[in-house]
Amino acid sequence: MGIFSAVTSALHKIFSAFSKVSQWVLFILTMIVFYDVVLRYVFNNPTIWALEISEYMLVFLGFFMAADIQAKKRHIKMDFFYSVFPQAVRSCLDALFHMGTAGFSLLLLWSSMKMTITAYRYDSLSNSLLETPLFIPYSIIPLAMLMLLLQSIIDLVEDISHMKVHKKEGSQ
Amino acid sequence: MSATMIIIISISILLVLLMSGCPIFLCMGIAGGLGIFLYSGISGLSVLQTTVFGALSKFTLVAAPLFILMGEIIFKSGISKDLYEAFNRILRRVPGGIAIATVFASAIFGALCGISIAAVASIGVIALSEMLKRGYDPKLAAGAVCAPGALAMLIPPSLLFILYGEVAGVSVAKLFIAGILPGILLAGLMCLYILIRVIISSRGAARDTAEEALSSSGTKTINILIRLWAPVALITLVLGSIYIGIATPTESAALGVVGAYFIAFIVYRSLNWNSFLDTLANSARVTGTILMVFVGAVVFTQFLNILRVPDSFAQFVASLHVSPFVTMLSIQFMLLVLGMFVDGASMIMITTPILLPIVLSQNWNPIWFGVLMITNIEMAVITPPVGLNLYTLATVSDDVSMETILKGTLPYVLVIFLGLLILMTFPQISLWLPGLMR
Repeated sequence: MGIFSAVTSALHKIFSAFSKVSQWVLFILTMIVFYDVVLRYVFNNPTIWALEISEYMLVFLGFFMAADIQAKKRHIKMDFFYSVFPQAVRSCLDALFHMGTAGFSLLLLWSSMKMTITAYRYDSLSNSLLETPLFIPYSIIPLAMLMLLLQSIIDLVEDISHMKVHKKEGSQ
Repeated sequence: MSATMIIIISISILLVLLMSGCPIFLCMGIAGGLGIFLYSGISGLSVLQTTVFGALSKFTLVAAPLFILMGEIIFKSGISKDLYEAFNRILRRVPGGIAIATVFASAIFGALCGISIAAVASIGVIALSEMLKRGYDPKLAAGAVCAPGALAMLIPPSLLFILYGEVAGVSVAKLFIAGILPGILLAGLMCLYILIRVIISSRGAARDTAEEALSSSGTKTINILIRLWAPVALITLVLGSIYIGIATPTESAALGVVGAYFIAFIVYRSLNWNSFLDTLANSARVTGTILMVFVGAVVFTQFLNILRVPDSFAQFVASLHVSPFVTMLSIQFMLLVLGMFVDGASMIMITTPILLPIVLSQNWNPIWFGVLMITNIEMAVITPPVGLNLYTLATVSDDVSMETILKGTLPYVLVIFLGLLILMTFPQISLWLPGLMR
């Protein structure tokens, strides 16, 4: 369990760091849109990059918080019925949900990885004046989904150990 | 496997997962992903990245995190205290004046901060203790604090309008402007209810004596009113720029954030480095949770569209030959029940793709329908078991029990429902202002 704890702790530090980066991404996103508004309406000279970059930053915000939110159990859910279930049932459900999260993140990881590699291989560029190499924004999703997958595996291992404890307590 | 069977399996899985406490993004992701796989095989799933990336990388959706951030800054700025005090001083000689002042302050706060629980947590705490101190009936006081917080969802800028606009493909700017009059209508109905209740029962809401009113008037009132220039300017800047058409909702959100920082740092001097970081952390977290639900909704919508579920559902509803009013009423009842269990943002993302084709097939204006949907969600946040405003008030105040909050808030569900019926009967209330936009 020592290695597992060390790996978990290291991963949580990484997720937390990405979470902090996301906070600053939000601030920079605000400033970019504001800067573009000023240039557009005051100087009649909008940037060619603000709109596109802000869209990519939104994708970053949407995905890179996912693992940290999962680690802190903050994803939105309807827990009215869940809260009345016995602890043992809740542990089983948690394990199922974490398996589901792992499956969903794996699905998005697989499909986004394929697309990112294709964009890289064919030098795909965005259809705009900025001509961003598309593999850069596309790579946000596989990276974030990899983190969510790892967090789901951590959660699943913890669920299984909780279930073992409950089983032990039940048999005593 | 037949398409009908796949639809039944996927929607059953969605409902079972929702009820069992599974994160909502996952419920929709699994139900949608499985449905696509059963219908199109692995090739259907391989294009999910394009759909998800395309749906999320939209400039109109950038308004969501920016308005969330603006709301967080306003919440921490201390404006709520001034708003409440200003209305309290103006209205305290009216029967039930403090309760009515709370409604007005919450409505204006809603125009600054589109988060329903924020008004309850900030204005509510101040207003509730003041009302109880002055001998108001605790039920009246709790209801007057809890229900008006919900106005923040309808009065722009509203996060729910951004999400609805994005899912339904409707102009967010027009939705924002469409929410103004219905918001004023609901605030007016809430005030009317308080007034009637106080006059009929002739107890439970003390009025200021002439001496008290005199001692509290004068320069202090004028000073507080002068301090309100900042929130008034911010509302004018954000909504005015959208209404006149010189800025998109996303651009006005960025102006709003910078304006909110100016108010919090310079005018109120209430934000320091730590609270500044707090606003960013909270906003990023809320954005992350909502956008993940959006990702799940995109996958689920993709499934619905591949199997043409919304069109089939719309045709089915049309084949029932029920009057449009009954159809709309049935939809509203369904949303009301669903809203008791699912939060507003998730409800919009789950139901809009299914209901929109019905809206279009009945020749209803989707902007009007969006206003009705969000008015309906206002009831959801004040009804158990998931009524967020109820729990927020119970958490931030030790002065009233949950039972008192429930009893005090219940009449407002009927008040909002009355408002909903009025908005259903007179679509012009929602559509007049957007019709004047350029």
